[in-house]
Amino acid sequence: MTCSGWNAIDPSHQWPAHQGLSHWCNRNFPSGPTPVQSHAWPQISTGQNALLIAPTGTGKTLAAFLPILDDLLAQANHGLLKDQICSLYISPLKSLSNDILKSLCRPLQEIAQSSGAKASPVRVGIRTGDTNPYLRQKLRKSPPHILITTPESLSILLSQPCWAAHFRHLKSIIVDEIHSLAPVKRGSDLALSLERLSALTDIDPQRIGLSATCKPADLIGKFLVGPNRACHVVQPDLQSTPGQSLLAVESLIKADESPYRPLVNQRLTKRLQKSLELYKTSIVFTNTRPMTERVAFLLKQESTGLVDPESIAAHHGSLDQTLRQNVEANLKSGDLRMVVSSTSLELGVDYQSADYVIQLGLSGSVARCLQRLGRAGHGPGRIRKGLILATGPAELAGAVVTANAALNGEIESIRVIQKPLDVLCQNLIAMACLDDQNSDKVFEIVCKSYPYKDLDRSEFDSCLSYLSGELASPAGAWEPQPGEPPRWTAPRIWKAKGEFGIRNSRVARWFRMNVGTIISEESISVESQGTRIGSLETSYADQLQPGDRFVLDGKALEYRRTEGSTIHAKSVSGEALFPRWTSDRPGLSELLAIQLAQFRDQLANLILNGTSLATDWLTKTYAMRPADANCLVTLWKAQLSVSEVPESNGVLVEVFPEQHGTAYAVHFGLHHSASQAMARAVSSRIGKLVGRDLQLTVSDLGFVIHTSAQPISMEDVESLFQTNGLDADVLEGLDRGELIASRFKHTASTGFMVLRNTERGRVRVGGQDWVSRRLYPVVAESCPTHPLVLEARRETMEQFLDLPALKTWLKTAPKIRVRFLKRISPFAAAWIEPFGGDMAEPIQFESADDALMHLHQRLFSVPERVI
Amino acid sequence: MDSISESWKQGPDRWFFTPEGALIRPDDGTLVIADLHLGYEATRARAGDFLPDRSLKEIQHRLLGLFQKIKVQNLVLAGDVTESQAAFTGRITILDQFLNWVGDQNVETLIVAGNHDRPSSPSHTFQDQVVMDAWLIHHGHKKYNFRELACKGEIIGHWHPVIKWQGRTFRAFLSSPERIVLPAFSGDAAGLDLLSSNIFQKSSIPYECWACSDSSVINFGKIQDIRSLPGG
Repeated sequence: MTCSGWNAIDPSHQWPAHQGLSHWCNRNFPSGPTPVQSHAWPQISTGQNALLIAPTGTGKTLAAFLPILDDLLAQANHGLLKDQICSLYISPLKSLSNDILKSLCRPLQEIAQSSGAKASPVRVGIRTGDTNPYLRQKLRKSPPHILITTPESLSILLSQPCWAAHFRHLKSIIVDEIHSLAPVKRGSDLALSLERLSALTDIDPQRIGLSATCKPADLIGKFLVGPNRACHVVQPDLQSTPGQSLLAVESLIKADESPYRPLVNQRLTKRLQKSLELYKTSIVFTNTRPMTERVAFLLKQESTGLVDPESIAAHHGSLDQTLRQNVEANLKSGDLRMVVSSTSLELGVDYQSADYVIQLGLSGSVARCLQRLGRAGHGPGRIRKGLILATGPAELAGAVVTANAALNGEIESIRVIQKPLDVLCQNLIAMACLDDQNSDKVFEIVCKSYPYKDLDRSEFDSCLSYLSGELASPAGAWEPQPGEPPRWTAPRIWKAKGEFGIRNSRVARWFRMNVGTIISEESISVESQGTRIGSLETSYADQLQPGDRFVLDGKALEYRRTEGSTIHAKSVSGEALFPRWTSDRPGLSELLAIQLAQFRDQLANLILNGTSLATDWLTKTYAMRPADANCLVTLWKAQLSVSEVPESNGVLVEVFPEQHGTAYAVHFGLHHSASQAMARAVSSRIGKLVGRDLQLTVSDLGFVIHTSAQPISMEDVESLFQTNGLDADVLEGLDRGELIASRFKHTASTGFMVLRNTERGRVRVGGQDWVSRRLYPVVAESCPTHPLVLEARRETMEQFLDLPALKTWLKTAPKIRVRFLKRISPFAAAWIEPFGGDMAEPIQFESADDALMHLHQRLFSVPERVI
Repeated sequence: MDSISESWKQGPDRWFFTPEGALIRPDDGTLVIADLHLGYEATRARAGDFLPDRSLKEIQHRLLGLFQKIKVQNLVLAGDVTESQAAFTGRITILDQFLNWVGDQNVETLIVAGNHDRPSSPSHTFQDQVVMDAWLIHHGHKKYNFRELACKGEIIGHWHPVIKWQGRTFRAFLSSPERIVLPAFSGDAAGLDLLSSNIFQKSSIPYECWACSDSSVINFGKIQDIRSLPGG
C-alpha cells in the first residue's frame, strides 16, 4: 500500500536578509528553502497571521522562526534590540519545547561565533513546569527575546504582574501542534490565554500556527486568531512530489484461535523481535500505559540473546521525567532499538533515527494513525514504514479499514469545543490573580477567542457568581454560625460594583498548583534504590502488600513500604503483575466507523456468494495476507451461522438469555458517540418496560444491555428505535447512569471546585469517587444551572454523545432486524464485549430496597432466611 | 415496636440492626453509631475545596428519624465522630452544633475516640472505650480484650463495611455472637466492600453480614460464604 506526500526543495526563494542568518542557512540547507518556507515567508515577514500546514520534517518550524530571527538579528545590528520578550513559542509538549530550545540556540550561537562574538545578542529562554525556581527567577529578572513555554505555564505567567509587564512589547506568537490543541479543553484554555495576552500588549501580536495534519484548515485558523482577525492558511501542495508511505496490517491471531493472553503475548513478542532484526529503530504505540509496560517487559525478558535489553525502553506519562528525557535523548541519538509508548511519543520531536512504526491495536482515527506513522522515516525522500498489529478479527477489520483510509489521506475534520465553562472559570481566577478586573472588559476579552465567541453574558455572570459563592446553596449547606444563611466554603473571588478580584493570596497559590485542564487520577511516586522510577495511581497502589510485585519502566519491582507520598520498591527478577491506570480509550472516528460498517456488509455479501470471492477481495483490494483474510472470513461465517451480519444502513437486535436474565446486543453502523446516544435511549426504554436495573456496554457499531428480567416482546423491541421522545429518553438514560457524574469529577477539577493538588494532602475517607458519588448529586439538585453542572452535561452531550448524527441516521428509517439467539453472537462478543460485561455501566431503575432484595435473590436463589 | 421490627433485624444479645446503619438495644434505649466524620467537607475546604457542607444536617435528619421511632436514652458515638481538627474550630464548632442538637432531643451522649478524633478542647470528653449492657464499645483501631473487662462481647466501627453492587453502595453490619462491626453513619465515607475485600473473609471470626437499604436490613449469611454462593 502506498501513498504520496513528501516535499521537494524549491530553490527559487532566497534566504533571509540578515547576512549571518543567510550564511548559516546556506551552509546548512544548500538546496535553498523548502516549499513551506518559501510560501510562509511573505506572510510571516509582513506580520500577518498564518497557519502553516505541512508534513513532519518539511521545515515548517524554521519557516515560522526565520522571519522572526531575521528581524531580531537586524534590530541587534542596529542597536535597537531591547531586553523584552518579542516572540513567544507555545508547544503542548515539554519535550518539544526542550528540542526547540536547542534548535534555536545552535544557529544563534554559530552566527555569533562566525561574527567573532561570544554569545548571540538574541537570547532564548524556556519556562515550563520542569523549570526550577532558580531559573524561573532568573527569567523573571531578565526576560529572553524568545520565550518557549507550554499552555499551562503561559496561563501562570499571565496571572503574575511582573510577567504581564514583560509581555507588553510582544510581536509574535507561535503555536506548535495546533491540531492537537484545537479539539480539547487545553486548546480552549490556550485560546483564552492568547486573548489575555493580546489584552496586555501594545500591539496585537502576530499569531502563527503549525500543524502536520489539520482539517478543516479554515476552522483551525479561526481557532488560532479568533472570529474577528484574518488568518492566511499556508499549505503548499506537496502531493505531486516524490515520496511514499508503506502501511501494512497483520493479525497476531489465526482463524479459529481464541485471542487468549498468553498466545497473544507470545506472538506479539515474536513479531516485535522480527522488527528488531529488520529495522534500526522502531516505535511501538500501544494506546495504554498497562499495555506499554506489558510489551516492554515481555520484550526485554525474551530478547536478551537478540539485543541488549537496555536498548528497549518504555515511554509513557507515568514514568519519571528524567527517565523519559533519557529515552527521548537516546531515541534521537539512535542508541535505542525499540521504544514502546502509550501515546506520549505521537507528537513533537523529530526522531530521525526511527525507521519503523508499529501500532498495536487501533489508533481510532486516520489523523492519529498518520501522526504516528509520521514518527518514522523523517526527512526528505525517506519512506515512512508502519504496521498495524491486530489481536483479533474485529480489530483486524478495523485495522484494514484504518490503513486503507490513511493511505487514501482521508483525514477526519476537527471539531472545536464551544465555550467550556469550567475552563472559563479557571481563566477568570487567573485574571483575578493578575489584578482586580472589570467584568465588562473581561467579557469582551473572552468573547474575542474563537471557542467563546458565542458566550452569553448570563453564562459569564453565572461563572462569576459561582466563583464568588453567590449561587444557590444546597439545603442544609454550611452555616458560618447557626441560623445564618448557608454558604459555600472557600469562595475564590469577591465581586462588587462590576469588578472582581481574588479573595486572598491562597487562591493565587492554589491556582498555580492546579492550573491546566489535563485531568489525571491521584497518584503516588515510586522509588527504587533511591531513584525515582515513576508513579502509580493511588487506587492501585493502596492495594499493594509488602512482597507484591509490579512492573514499571519495563522492569519488575517488589513493593516494600509506603512512606508519605512515596512507595519504596526493590528491583527484582522474574514475573510480576502489570499496574492499572485509568484512561479514556478512543473509539473509532465517525468516518472509520461508517467505513467499517460498510466493509462488514460488503464482506458478508461476498461470502454469501462464495468464500473465494471474499478472500480474493480482501487479498487484492486490501493487500491482506491470505491467513489474515481467512481470519476475517471465519468470523463472518460464524456470525452468519447463528445470526446475520448487520447491514450498514440497518439495525440488528440480538436477544439472548444469560444466567441471570436477558441481554440485548444492538448492532448498527455508527461511531461510539452516536452509539452512546442510541444506547441511552434504548436503555431508558427497556428500563421503563421491565422496571429493573440494567448494565450497559457501549462500543463502536453497537452496544449490549444486560437485564435480570425476562425478554421483552418482538413489538416492544421494534419500538425501541422510534424517534418520538428520543431527546427525553436519551437524557433519562444518561441521568440513570454514571456518565455525567463521572464527567463532573473533571469539570469540578478544571473549574476549581475540587483541587487536584492541595497543600494539606488529600482527604481520603470519601474515597476516589466522592466527587461523583456525593458532591455531584448535591450540587445538581440544589443548583441545576451551576456552570460546572451545565458543563458536565454539555461535555457529555457534545463530546461523548453524538445525538445529531444519530437523529440524521434514524431519519433514513433504518430497517430493524430482530434475532432471538441461544447465546451471545460471535460479532457481539468480538466487537462490543470482547472482555465480557464486567465493566458495564449500571443504569438504575429500581429502588434501593428492590435492588438489595434482587441482589440477595441472585446470590442465594432462595427467599431470605428467617432467623 | 411491632411496626419497627419489620425494618430492624435482631443480632446477638437483643441488639438490633437498623436500615439507617445504627445499632439499637430497645430494652434500655441505647443507640450506637460510629464513624460520623463530622466536618468532612470543612476539612476538604481547609485544603482548598469549594463545597457546600451539609453532612451535619444529613446526619441529624437520619438520627431524628430514629429518635421518632423509639425513645433513646443514651447515644454512643463509637469513634471517628469528627473528620479532623476542622470540626473543632470556630466559635461554635461543628461538633458543638451536633452535641447541642442531641442534647435538645433529651438524649445523653457518650463519645468514644477514634483514630480521626483529635480533640483540642477539654470541653469534649472523649473516652477510649465505654461499656453498655455488658458490651465493650470502642472504635476498633486499637485492640482490647473484652473478656478481661468482664464483657459479653465488643462493638466497633472503623472499617466502614459496605456491599457494592452495580453502582450502588449498601451499608453493612458484621456480627458474630461476641462482636459487632458497625457501618459508617456518615454518607461521605467510601466503605470497605465486602464483596471484593478479603479482610473479613480471611478472619477466623464467623461473621454474618447484614446489608441495609433505605428501609430494610437483609441477612446475607456468613461473609466467608458470599463469594461461593450460586449467584456470586
